Amino acid sequence: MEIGLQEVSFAYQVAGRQLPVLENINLKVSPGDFLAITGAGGSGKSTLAMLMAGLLEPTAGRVTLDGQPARGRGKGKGLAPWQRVGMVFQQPEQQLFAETVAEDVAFGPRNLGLGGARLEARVKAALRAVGLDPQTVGGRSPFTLSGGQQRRVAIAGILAMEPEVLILDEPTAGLDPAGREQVVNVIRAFYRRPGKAVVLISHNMAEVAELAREVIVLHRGRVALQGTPRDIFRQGEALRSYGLIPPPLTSLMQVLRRQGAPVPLDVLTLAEARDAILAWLGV
Amino acid sequence: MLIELGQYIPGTSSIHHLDPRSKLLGLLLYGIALLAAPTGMAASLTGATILPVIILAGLAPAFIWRQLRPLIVFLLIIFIFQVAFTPGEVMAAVGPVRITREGLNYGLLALARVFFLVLAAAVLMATTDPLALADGLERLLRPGQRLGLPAGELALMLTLALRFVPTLLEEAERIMRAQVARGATFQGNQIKNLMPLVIPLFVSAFRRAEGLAEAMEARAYRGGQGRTRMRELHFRAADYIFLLLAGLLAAGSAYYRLRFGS
Repeated sequence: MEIGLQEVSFAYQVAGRQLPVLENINLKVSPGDFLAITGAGGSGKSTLAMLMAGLLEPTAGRVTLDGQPARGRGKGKGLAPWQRVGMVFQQPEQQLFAETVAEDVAFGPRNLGLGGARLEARVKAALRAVGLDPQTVGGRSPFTLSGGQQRRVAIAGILAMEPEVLILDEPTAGLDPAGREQVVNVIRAFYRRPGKAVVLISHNMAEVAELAREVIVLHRGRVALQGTPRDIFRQGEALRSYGLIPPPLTSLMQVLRRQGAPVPLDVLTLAEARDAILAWLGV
Repeated sequence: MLIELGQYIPGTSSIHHLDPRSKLLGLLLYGIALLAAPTGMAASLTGATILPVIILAGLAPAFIWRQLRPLIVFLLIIFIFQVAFTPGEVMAAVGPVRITREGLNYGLLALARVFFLVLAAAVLMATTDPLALADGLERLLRPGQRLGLPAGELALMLTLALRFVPTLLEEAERIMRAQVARGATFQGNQIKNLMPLVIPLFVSAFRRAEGLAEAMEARAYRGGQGRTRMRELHFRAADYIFLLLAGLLAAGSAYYRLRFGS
């Protein structure tokens, strides 16, 4: 599944006035892509995510699925292709409603027309994929779980629909470090499967650096920077002007460079940083 | 927005500037006038006195229409029932259904009362800041405090309720989108289909209520006794004129009923 946005603009109607949110966005997400969309608060990240998931329709430009122009979900007969795009909202645990965890996870696939043993298998697989045991957790009320567990149940509810593209809006916001790591692992495991693509909306630069293959920086509804994480984080000053702070390791390298150390600026992982510093110290 | 009923449209018109108490009392008098009007025609004419208020307030017809649109089906049902099931002088018969003069009159009466009351309430909400509205209500209820009416608490409840209407609507929209992303359609009449929206909404409303209570206590809120206001309410000339007109309307309608009504 390939999602394409061509010259997409979006504006909210507020009391008869147009409030532009996104302007002239072009992007493409193909199988195997891991795209991170980042930007300061109010830059249009979440709106872009909803456009890519078919939950909003652009006010100008067009959204295509596998090259075919697509209207929003629920408009016309266009639901079928959107089924292959899964969207995890901000704080998705707030959408939990069923009496048991298993029932809640089953909600999505049941809406796709699944039932019986196939549905059960999907639910179990999805719960395992997020690191929850279907036997012990499946029968409990979702409201008795911890925040991090609730979030993973909500993500399982999307995974159970077996999307090809997974769009996640700030999936780790508000979680404790352990919960954050678990969610990151879920995303990694999904991305490793063949033919899958991930779109991650996040303002956590460390997370973006760690996971993404391509990064788009939004600033006031426009694409300000686009490239690989290395390309993007090398431009520390530009990032700051868009209201973002480079990830800690990149910042460290910038400080070292300013002190006269010949270290590279495009460092993404701890191992790379260690090697660079050791090389500089000549150890 | 999902629902626009009761939306506040900030503005600077003479209606916006009226004291909230005048507008509340005006709505009360207007309601009395509507209920006192004995015939469908009288109620319609009484109701039509809201038109200059709408024009003065500068409310767009499209806005008014969006406010009333959800009501249309309900109004038609009321009208049809009254017309079809009131005995009296038969004007026309369609199969077993007899349309009577009395039926038409009562149908129009019921229609006009509900329609214009909702319209007036919508105009009140559209031209009055919700907080000012709650202030006004508290002042109007204050005399009832001697009788044990908790005016301050009532006003606080109203303020909070009004304050959280847009928040909850926004939340409902967000949850609805999230469930649509999970393939929900929210079609069909079964209450079951609404559960994916209603339960998360309740959970978050309770959580919000708890958080708000704690935040208020943390800032030493201890109820209404002896609280001062940031905005003091003042009647001005326009308020007296407005109330005089509303009073005349109610009195006129009541007089008409006593004199000519049944």
